[in-house]
Amino acid sequence: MSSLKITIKKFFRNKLNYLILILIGICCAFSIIVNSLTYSTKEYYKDNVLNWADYRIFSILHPENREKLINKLNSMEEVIGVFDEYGYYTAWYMPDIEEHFEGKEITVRISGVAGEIPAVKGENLPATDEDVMICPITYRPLENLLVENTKLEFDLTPFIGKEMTIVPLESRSPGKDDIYKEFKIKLVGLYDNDRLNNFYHDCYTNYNTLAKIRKQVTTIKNNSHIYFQIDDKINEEKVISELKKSGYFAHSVMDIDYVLAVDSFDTLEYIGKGLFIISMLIVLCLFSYNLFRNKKIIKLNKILGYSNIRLLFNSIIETILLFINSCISLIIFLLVGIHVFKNYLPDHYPSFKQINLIISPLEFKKVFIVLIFIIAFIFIINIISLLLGKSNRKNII
Amino acid sequence: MEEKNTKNNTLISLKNLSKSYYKGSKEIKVLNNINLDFEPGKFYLIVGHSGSGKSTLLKIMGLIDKPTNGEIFINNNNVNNLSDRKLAKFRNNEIGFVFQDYFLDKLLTAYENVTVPMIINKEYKKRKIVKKRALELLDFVGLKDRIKHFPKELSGGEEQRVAIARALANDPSIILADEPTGNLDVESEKFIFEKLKEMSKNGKCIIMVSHSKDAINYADKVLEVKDGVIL
Ligand SMILES: Nc1ncnc2c1ncn2[C@@H]1O[C@H](COP(=O)(O)OP(=O)(O)OP(=O)(O)O)[C@@H](O)[C@H]1O
Ligand SMILES: [Mg+2]
Repeated sequence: MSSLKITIKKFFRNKLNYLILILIGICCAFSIIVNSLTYSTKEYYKDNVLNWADYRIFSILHPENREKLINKLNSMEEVIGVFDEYGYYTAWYMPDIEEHFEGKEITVRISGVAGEIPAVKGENLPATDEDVMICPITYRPLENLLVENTKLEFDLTPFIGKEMTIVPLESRSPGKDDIYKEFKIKLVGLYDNDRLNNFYHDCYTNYNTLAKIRKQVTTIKNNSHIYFQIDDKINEEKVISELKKSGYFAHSVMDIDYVLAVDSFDTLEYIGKGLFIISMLIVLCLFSYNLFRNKKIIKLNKILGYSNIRLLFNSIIETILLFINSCISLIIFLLVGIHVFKNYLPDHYPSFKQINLIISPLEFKKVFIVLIFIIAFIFIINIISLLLGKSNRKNII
Repeated sequence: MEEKNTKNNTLISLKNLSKSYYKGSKEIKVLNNINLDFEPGKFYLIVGHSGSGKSTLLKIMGLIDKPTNGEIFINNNNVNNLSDRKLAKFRNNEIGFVFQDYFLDKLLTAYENVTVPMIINKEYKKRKIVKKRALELLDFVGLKDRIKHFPKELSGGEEQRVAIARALANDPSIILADEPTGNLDVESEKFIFEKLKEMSKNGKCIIMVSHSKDAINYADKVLEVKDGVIL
């Protein structure tokens, strides 16, 4: 039996310490998870949604000098494609798959894009102008949106590598058989739309391919927009401000509607912060109470012959124990929290399915610093109580 | 300035000892110019009215409180101006305390409570020695079968017996007991008094404050504190 052993034993026998450790663990872990969740969600958006081709397409209305603008855009490093209304999206019928939907008319949107689009099945959509397209892996016809409760889904896998027939919408109205036109376009692959919002009926082809086909069926009277696509969402501000300087006002063609309720994360973040502060206050109260109880024992130990140095040493040991065990408690609750997040939350909130919880090291660091501050504060209270114990010598007996 | 006390066979010697408390500018004289000698192997009983200064006297002798004036010699050493560490060592080695409310560490078992003063003492480094001594002492106070009990699992009398075992841990020459039976029934009181008496016969200097009528039957010498002086 040594002094150290006794100190350790006493630490673990004190039930209040467990309460303190659990509180510290829960609130630190909760804080880390909530903040990491917000961080992960934002990262997820940045990587997966916001950088999707559609979010990188911008339009400029009524350019005074089209040629000058097109030259300007083409000269910009960040701009990877410039096109007009013909290269923008339109709706088409797809007779090939209509058979599979009991004769329903199946519509697909085909958008023109400039860059490559990665495929999860088949091949990527190439960045160059070829007569190929890429479609969503989970395909739902446009009509699906109009008729509620019908969740028509279709697997386009069997069509990969096949020439698909597409029919422009305007050539297929009743009594217009004379203008009926069909085109062939090869489906090279399927992209992962599960991680995107509402991209269930969006196929993509190169803007030149799309323009080439459309020019054969339509004459767009009001071709007043110039569209351009940038290489990365990061450059959005830079490009837009540069255009502004030249007098052009570019707008994103997509509304950035946050798929997941990012707002609810903000609330969660506030709750997390509130909980954190409250818990820390409780911890400090509990600790002060513990100390109040301890003061008598400090006096006793002094009577029994502990010198101030030894009492200080014990205090340091207690603080170290508190710190180590706080970290252990934090790790345990963090693991529990992550487990809950991975196994429970996605079942109840499907939007969590896509998000990979990244425990951001920054959050760890932040919480760690707060933890160190708290422990340091507790240590200081400890020292103060030692000093108080010293001055209170008279009341020992 | 080490003054030597010349008297032989004196364990504690109080010289012109005074103690005053100050409440604001008002001086409350508790002890006034006390000269006393305590010898080993004797059982001293200190009596006096409530507030007469008995506890104050014990605290000063126990090196827990400092006198306003005067000097204390223990084993012919002037202990007035010792450093905190030396005082702690002195208390640990030479003085055993027994308090009215037992004052055990609630987070430690009976056995562990008894070992605490030994753990502090460097001479008892060996685990085996500490264990043997603690068990002997618990046996001495009749608690051999209660060693693993926590204070809350002991009766008041048993708690006080643990406190006595703890006071004896480092084999000190002085035992200071401030109303050790104040909270106990007659039977427990008798046991405690008898143990203290036995200890004095074994050569320890027992100084006890007690309001008990029976205490006088055990004491070798009775000291009454009144108006700050010893009668
Ligand atoms: N820290 C202090 N500050 C001021 N006065 C004190 C202090 N401690 C004790 N006193 C006063 O000193 C006097 C003696 O107190 P002490 O505790 O020694 O009495 P006592 O003889 O032990 O009494 P009791 O029999 O009730 O225990 C009392 O009047 C008390 O009010
Ligand atoms: Mg008293």
